[in-house]
Amino acid sequence: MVRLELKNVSFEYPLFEVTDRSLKMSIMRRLNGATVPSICAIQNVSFRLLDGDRLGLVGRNGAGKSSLLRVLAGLAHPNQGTYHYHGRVVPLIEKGLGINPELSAADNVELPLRLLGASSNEIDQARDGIREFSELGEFFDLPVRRYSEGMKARLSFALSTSLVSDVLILDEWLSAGDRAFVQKAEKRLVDFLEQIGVVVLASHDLELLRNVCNKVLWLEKGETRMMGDADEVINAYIMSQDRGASSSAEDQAA
Amino acid sequence: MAAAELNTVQTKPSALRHVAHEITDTLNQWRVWFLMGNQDILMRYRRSRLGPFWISLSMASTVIGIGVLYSGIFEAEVGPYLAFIGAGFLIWAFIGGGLVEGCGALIEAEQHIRSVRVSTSVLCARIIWRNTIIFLHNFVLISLILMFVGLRPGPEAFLILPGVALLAMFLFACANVLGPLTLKYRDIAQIVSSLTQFMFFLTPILWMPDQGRVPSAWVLYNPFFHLIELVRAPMLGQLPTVMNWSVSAGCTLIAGLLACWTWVYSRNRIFVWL
Repeated sequence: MVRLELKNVSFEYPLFEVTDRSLKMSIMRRLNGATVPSICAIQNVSFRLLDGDRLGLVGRNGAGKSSLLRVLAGLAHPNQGTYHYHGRVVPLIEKGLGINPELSAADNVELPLRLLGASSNEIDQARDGIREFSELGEFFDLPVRRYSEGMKARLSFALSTSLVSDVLILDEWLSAGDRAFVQKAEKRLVDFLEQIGVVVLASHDLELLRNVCNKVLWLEKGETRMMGDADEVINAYIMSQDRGASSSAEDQAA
Repeated sequence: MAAAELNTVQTKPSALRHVAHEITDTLNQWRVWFLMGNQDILMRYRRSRLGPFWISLSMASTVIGIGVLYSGIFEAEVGPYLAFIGAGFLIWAFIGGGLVEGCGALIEAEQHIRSVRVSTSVLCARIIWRNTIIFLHNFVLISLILMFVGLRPGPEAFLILPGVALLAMFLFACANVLGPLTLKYRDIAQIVSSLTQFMFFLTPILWMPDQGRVPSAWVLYNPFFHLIELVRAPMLGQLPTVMNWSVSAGCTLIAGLLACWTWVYSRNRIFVWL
């Protein structure tokens, strides 16, 4: 079934200056007829994703990938167009959000998951799974600030992969960090992703996108440059980058 | 997979539905603001055994110091004056804290707003909840002072709870106005904190309204006087007047309507104000 659909979505945001941040100054500016310029982060983007789709976003920095993720997550509101989705959207944009270093892992399960929209039932279920998976042993009941980086990564990975959703928005691929952990994490990740309807992922790692995604959207200056089969779009993207690199090299030579 | 309801994000969603959404979120997601508020307190006073009682202690010492000194200046009896400013300081700390921290409700949660869907009302409830926790701690110490000067709680004391509840609702409504607007106009925080300071002196907290030296209109037209009386009168064994209650309820209603307007005005803008 169609999970989400964007129709001619545009998102622009005003470029506030320091003076626009002050009530006094901005009333003065407003009286003088000054307007705030805005830039278009997303322009006229349309697509639909079906259950099972894994969409990758590629593009240079500033092409609008993050903005599009935030529109899809319902955080940023489009200025034009409509956006429909069915079910629950979980955005994993800021890893470790809601984890309090003064609390133990056991006490750090609830708030991060609640912020992502989990119900009490889901939290109870997640708690045992996280304890078991993260293999923190007695550290599970000690404050997170005492953890090694690897332990923190395991906890955050376990948290990220405990909430099933219909649409999952990822700013970065999920990884457990720890080497010794990779196989176990891989299995958990596969099991987790099987239950997710649609995944949207922004990344600069083209090989990862090739492996994970069936569709890729190439954004350029907020507009759709190309959208379609993952391999096709990634190849075209690489070509254009090479061309860009060689043409700039020519510029320098000349 | 979860039941798939259809959600539509439009450029101009219904205002009424959004207001209802903010209100139901406050109720449904009470655990989010409850946990966040508790953790705020925990972080502020981590690794200190007394925790929030530290501020209560400093409030108690201020009250005793000023009480003894000013009762001499005002030629008032020490006992009743100490009780009066004790209750006044306690309530003012709640009001001032709610207003000033309410300005930062969204700024503080910038990271959250950027990465998860969290309602303005939930972030404001967190601010009011953590100020309520501090209020409750202070309440214990100030009650000890009241007992010490010989006040015993009478039947009026039952009115403290509804008074605090209305006060909390007023502050919650104010935070929902100030939080989003301060996100856009950062200088509102400074304006509010100077005004709060100013109102502290203008409102009968240090001085008693019946000392006869201040025109009564100054007191009666000051909404903060009525908001304070709501809780202070029953703490001191008096009944708040009908006027105290009606002015306070009216202020809460106005602040509530402004909050609804702010929700609707800011909902699509909050993200670009970050």
